[in-house]
Amino acid sequence: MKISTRFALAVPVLLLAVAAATPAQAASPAPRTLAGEKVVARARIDGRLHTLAALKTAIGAATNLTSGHRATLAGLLSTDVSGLTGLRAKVDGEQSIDAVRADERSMVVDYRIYLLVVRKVRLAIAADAETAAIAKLGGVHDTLAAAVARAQSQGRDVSAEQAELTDMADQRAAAGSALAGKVDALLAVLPGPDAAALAAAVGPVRAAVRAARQDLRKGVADARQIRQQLS
Amino acid sequence: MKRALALAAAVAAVVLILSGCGRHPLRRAGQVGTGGAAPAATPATAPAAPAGVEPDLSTLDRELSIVDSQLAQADQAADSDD
Repeated sequence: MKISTRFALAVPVLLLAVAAATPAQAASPAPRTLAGEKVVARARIDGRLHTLAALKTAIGAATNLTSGHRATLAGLLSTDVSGLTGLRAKVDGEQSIDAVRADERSMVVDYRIYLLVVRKVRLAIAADAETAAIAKLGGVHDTLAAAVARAQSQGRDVSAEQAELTDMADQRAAAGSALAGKVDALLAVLPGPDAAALAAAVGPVRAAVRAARQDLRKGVADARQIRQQLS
Repeated sequence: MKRALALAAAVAAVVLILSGCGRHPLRRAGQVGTGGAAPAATPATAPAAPAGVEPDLSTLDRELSIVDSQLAQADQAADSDD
């Protein structure tokens, strides 16, 4: 038997062996007692409550978060903490495993802490910081434009600086366009059972926030380049 | 006696005229009658730079540092989400 033939026979056998072994290793034993189910459910709720506390701290430290977004997010966190705390008490009082599991499902689909709330907070903080940077960079642009105009009036060739000023303005505009309406749209998304739909709602916002940051970094690089050339 | 009364009346009249309606010289100078608050030594807003003065590029470094800080905050928040 040729080596290639042996190999062709060996591969399926090996795959069958792996396939037979995998289910036994992948399946994790589910808690079978009511008390065990409650322990797991409480731990999962507590994890979400800790995440909400961390998000509250992040909101408090986010100096560029707009007052509107801050109020919306604070309200969301407060509502979710209240709801999950109540759900935790409900779990304690359940009399059947099915009831506890129903509570766990509610914990996931009615709140979507990890899939939605974390993203709402993080992306709103990021987007508002970028919006603040857009405004600040506008002032820098105007100051540089005045300096370039002054240099030009003194007979200096400022074509390079003018091109960089134009690019700086373009980068600012691109960042603003990328962010326009994104956070408000994300904050309007409600939790639900369709995880794929929620992820699809988050994805464009995350991409916009990343793109805006890249645009702004280019604008900052332009500003530093002009600043250096004028010195 | 009449001269003394007339002189006193004239002085009182001058003082009343000068102190009336905030027109006392010291009041105009902002040294009295300001409720204890000293007049501002400089205007609240800096005057516009006269023609021929270079824009203050030194402030740009501070402004750009603020932008860097804002983008770092955005980085931190977005990285936590990724």
